[in-house]
Amino acid sequence: MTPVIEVAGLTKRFRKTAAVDDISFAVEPGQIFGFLGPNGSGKTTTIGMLLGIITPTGGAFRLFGGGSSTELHAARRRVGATLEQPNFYPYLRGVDNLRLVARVKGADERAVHDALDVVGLGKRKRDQFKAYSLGMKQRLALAATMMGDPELVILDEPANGLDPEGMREIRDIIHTLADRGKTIFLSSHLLWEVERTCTHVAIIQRGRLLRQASVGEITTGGEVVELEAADVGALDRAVREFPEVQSVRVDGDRIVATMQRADLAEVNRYLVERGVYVRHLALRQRSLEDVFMEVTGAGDHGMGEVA
Amino acid sequence: MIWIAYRNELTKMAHRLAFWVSYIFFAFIALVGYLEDYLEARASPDRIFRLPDSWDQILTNDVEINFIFAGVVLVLLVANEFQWRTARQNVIDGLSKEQWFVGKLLLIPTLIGIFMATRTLVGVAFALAGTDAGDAALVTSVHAMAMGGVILAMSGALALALFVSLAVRNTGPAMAVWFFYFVALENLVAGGLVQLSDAFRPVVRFFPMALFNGAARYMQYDPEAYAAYVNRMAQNGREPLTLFDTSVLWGAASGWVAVLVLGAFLWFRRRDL
Repeated sequence: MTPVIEVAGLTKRFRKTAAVDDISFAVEPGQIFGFLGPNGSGKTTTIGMLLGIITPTGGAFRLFGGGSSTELHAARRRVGATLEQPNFYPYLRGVDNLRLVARVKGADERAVHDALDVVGLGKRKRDQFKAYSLGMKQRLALAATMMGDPELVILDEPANGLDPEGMREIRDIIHTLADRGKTIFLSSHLLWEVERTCTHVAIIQRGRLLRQASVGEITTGGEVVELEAADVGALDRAVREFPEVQSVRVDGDRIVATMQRADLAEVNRYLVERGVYVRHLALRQRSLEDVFMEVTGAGDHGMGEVA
Repeated sequence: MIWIAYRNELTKMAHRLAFWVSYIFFAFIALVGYLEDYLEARASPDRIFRLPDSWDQILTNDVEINFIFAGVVLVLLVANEFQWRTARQNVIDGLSKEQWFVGKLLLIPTLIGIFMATRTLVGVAFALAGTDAGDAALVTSVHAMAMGGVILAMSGALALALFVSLAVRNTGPAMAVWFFYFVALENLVAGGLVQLSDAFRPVVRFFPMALFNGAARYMQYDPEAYAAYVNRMAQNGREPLTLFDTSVLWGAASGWVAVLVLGAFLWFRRRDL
């Protein structure tokens, strides 16, 4: 089956800085593909190149198998996308903003109202865009991506700035789109959101692709142990010397260690022998956040906005 | 698709309060100006405001007002697209950069039509009130040429506004740059060059706004009006303007319009959104 997105050696340089550096990946039909990375890692630049608003300085990509400029322009008619914050005309009503999009996408008036109903803006469609809350703006952006019944939906940080309820709503909408057979390319730095939503992920940092796999594959291999002690420094030093340890990071008062094989009794005995007494010791499933921290080394430098 | 892009531009313009405020203010100025002409003509036998004698007043008097209002509206309709990031979203939604640009380009004839039609209709309405029946329909080739000249001049001023909007990508600064060039910069540069050497005098005549203003001058097309102007200047002991040959003037002005539009397009296409 032809990949929906096929990227080979894609590069974008701004003068001497490589915002995206020789990345390659593929998104197959029906996947919900999470594109992960800290702020400034090159996610939006990559999507911008796929959408034709940023010109690559190297490499190539195909959308629906087409790579020439004519084919890409035709392919983009099959894509619904929103980049960074929702971009609409502030003085136009929500429904009028969608009508502009619908004309370009070849969708009819009914599709406009259907999309507004799907995202729950049916009752506020006659309000100006500038009067919308952030959550409503995000939902309008999702409605716009649905215009023309696209086969590929690209969403860049769709849950940015939303409260938990708003995030849940966005997640539900994404699942609704996935249930309709759409391929979804989702960029985010909200790891737990991606883990709950996506089937596949790619991790990018400083413009370089670090890993690509299914969520299942990426979260298997190794077990995660959470530890807490009065002296976090001593605990950290001791855990790092434990033979089975693959990686260690500090998460607030806790140490989170990924181990090849974790036997809690053995870990506890090892720590007591070194004079470290834990007040919390627990084994849990390896999460996408754990993998992300290991791969990017973010835990060693503080997590920033990646959480 | 170009029709869709243009239709979207019309929708955005029709819903834009700033457009209506500019348009109503422009129409009000035209109304007051021509009302004054009409009342003065009624009050004084020395003054006339009737057709076909007053076509020059209707078409070309204070024509800079057309440039300014239409230019301001164009800057608002183009430069804001970058601040709101809607230009980028339009391309994401499926317009090519070329289609987006053509949609904006088509605003130039649209705005020329709207602003010229408004001013002409208001002027004609007042002039007709003082016109004897039977004379009103008299439009000569001179009037047609003058109207063509104003259209060309407005095309130039708006092409410059489009260029600046796409280059600056920010409404306030774009408006300031366009207005500064329109009002002062070209005159300052031309004046400086002529002071430097008289050899620059023929060169500065080919500067864009010099040509656009020349194209909008009624006496360019009416030899009688030019002769009267030369007489007036001679009586005042001043040197009259030397007019271009109309075909040279229009050719050069059209060339500047093409350069500005092409420059705007290339600049827009080259830069990321």
